[in-house]
Amino acid sequence: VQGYLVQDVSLLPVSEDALLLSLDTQEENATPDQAALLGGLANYLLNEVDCGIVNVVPAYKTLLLQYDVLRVSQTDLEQLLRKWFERHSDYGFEFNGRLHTIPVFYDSRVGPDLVSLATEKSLDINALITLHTRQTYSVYAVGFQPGFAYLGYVDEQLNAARHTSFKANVAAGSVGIADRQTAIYPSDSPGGWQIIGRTPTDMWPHKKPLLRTGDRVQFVSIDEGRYLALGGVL
Amino acid sequence: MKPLFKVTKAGAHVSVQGLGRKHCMHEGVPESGAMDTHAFCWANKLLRRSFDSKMLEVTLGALSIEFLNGCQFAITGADLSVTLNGNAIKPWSSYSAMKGDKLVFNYPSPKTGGLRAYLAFDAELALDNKLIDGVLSAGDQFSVHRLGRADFQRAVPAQHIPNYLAPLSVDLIPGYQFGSFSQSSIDVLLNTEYEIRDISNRMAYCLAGAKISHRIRSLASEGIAYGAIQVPPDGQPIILLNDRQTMGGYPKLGCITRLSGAALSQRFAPLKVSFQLVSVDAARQKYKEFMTFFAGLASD
Repeated sequence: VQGYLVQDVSLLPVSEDALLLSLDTQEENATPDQAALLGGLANYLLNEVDCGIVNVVPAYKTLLLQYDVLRVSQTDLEQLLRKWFERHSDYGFEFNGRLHTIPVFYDSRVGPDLVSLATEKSLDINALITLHTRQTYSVYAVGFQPGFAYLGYVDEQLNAARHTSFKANVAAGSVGIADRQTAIYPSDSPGGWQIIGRTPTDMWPHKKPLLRTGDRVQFVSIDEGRYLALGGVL
Repeated sequence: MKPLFKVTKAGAHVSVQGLGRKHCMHEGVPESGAMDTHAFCWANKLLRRSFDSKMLEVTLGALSIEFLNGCQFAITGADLSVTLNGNAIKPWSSYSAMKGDKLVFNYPSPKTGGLRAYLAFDAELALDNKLIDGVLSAGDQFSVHRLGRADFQRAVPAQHIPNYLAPLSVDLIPGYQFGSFSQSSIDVLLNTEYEIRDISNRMAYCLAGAKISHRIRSLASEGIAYGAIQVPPDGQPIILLNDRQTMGGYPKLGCITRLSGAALSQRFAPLKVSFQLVSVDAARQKYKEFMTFFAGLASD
């Protein structure tokens, strides 16, 4: 197999200073274990070894790895990665992706698409909220904008198409759905996801993103009083 | 801290740049950094500075500064008809400035080509967050921790000064989904002169020309390396550069090399570019030689 690294993992150069590691699986969607594995690998490369790693991007079933060509060779990195996978060969290995509880005020005043989405899916609002809050999501990737975490996968009943055009301003903290993914907008920005509520939680505390690939997220429904008490704005 | 200069007029696209941020892309923060690494590295070399010292990237010109202390500075990249106290000076050289001197960048010239000039100083700029992340505005003032010393004027040897109007064939390293594009699409790519579109910017160079197609129905978003050529459904290639998003889900042909990207970054619409394939080993070797030349100990 081209780029064979270890079983079910390939590593191929994509540019003079970047390699793409891929988990080769049959399933279309990544699993929480895979997200945790790649998040754990990213953390190892950034924080636990000093080996010339410039940037990493763990996303779904791949991890992009940019390195300093003057400090380390592709062969050295292959060896390093092989050893890491040998230590973590069992995908069931428990990585310490953090569990975040995110309070959300599900209301049409902060979730402009809440009512229309519920109507489209023939759900009442409470049923929609229950579907969105009754499972724990994994962070499969962070991108699009700083700190924007792609969470998956929402219940098939909540599978929602993106708006056909971008909305000019989606407020920071907005909780949205697109296809079977859900996410929180970390800052005010244009966006095309269907917005069903808003969290008062700061997604970019201490100038760092709250959520990282491999973390898990549990949404909790809160009422208006609690939302305002936590600093939420209407 | 010593004040070094103040900005008296700032074009819309003047920013402080280094050679790209580290350990940021996993947070969704772009790498950024100087678009033209060739001109950037030469500016530092002229001043015998560390190869990655930060400087100003002056895109499209319209920058005026006034020196608040004497220093050495260097200008490389595009010839933006720069004047020092009203006297024309050329890029690819270092100069001395005295307190009160005025340095003015005018505009790119269709006669010489080039879009971005680099302005480096012989001292470490003390930067707050605003100056690191944003574009400059009039009134901004820059300081240094310690002033540099008087030094000789240096110039870049002529053979290292690029002609930004010369036809550009960029080196493409096949990668990502290259194998999922048909041979006929690859032939089209390699035999077409693509026109640079005027919506090109620090994020991406958008090209117009013969359409490229592929048979990929869906692709999970993945990390995007510098220079990736993505092909959206309209079949018109987009080259993703320094300020690109960190991940994306359009099929990609591979990446153009960093040195090709540097040369591309000095071109503007409607100039044309073509593509040629290179092996990753050859590209890596060339890049290592380039980086070794500049990252090695500073010398004359």
